[in-house]
Amino acid sequence: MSENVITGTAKGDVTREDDLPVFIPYADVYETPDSLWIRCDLPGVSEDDLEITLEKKVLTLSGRQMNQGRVGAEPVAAEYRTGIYQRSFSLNRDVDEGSVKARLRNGVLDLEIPKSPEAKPRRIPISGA
Amino acid sequence: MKMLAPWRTRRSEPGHRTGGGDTLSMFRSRMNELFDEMFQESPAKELFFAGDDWTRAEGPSFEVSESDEELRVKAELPGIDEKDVEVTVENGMLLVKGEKRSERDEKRRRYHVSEVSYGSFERSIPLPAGADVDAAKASFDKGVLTLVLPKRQVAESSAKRIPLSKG
Repeated sequence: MSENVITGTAKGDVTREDDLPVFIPYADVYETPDSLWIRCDLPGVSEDDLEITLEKKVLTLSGRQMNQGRVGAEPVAAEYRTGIYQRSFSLNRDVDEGSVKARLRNGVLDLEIPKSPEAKPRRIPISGA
Repeated sequence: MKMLAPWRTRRSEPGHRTGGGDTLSMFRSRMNELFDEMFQESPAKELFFAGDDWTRAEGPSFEVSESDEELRVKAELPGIDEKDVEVTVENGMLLVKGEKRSERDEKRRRYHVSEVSYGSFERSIPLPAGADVDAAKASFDKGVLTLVLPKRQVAESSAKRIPLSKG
């Protein structure tokens, strides 16, 4: 079984979209017997500004971080900029596309992607001789 | 001007960051270049950028901006509970402390990607003269901490002109 169940597609350098910089957010990806989980840091992104799609086993999330309250203020030091978070994950397990659950809390997105019954580990009963 | 207390961070649990980190480091160093260019001539740079120290900063990303009326400090703290963040001001330094708790249950989970850092962090930022600490407001929304410190009107004549006498 391949270790590399899910591959995040890093886009390399920062690109631009609608004149906004596009960032790759940090993620944790793990697997439980029933599901694949993606946990992603998306600080400053609200539910309305987040889009998650799953197509041909590629899950893509795209979130826009809106800049608020900076009118007339001069940046003095900045280690982050506002822009678009974007990342794709190719899933190479069979998943139940219809029952993906997403929860956004405190700037962290949790995605639960249930495996299809075929992809779950199966217990094989042993019958006595 | 040499900083007495530069940006500093402390992590209690390093090393969860693998893969993808390189991209962010690249981005950070590019950002630093951009800011170096932007602040080449600014006195603010000396105030907030402590030489190379800040480029080594790990942990949450901060943003400091300033207008005539206020100083605004924002920190990206995704996944950190409000109760796990502490903000204090002492001797003109703003100190932000917090902990991102890990709920990793290694037995049940098989990790494929682990880039998110957990553990505690600490960051201190020097406040400019005139920042009104008593009127400071802090809010926490969508994993972003925002601190607003209004500025007191500092007497403009704080720089004293010394008359020259002919002799």
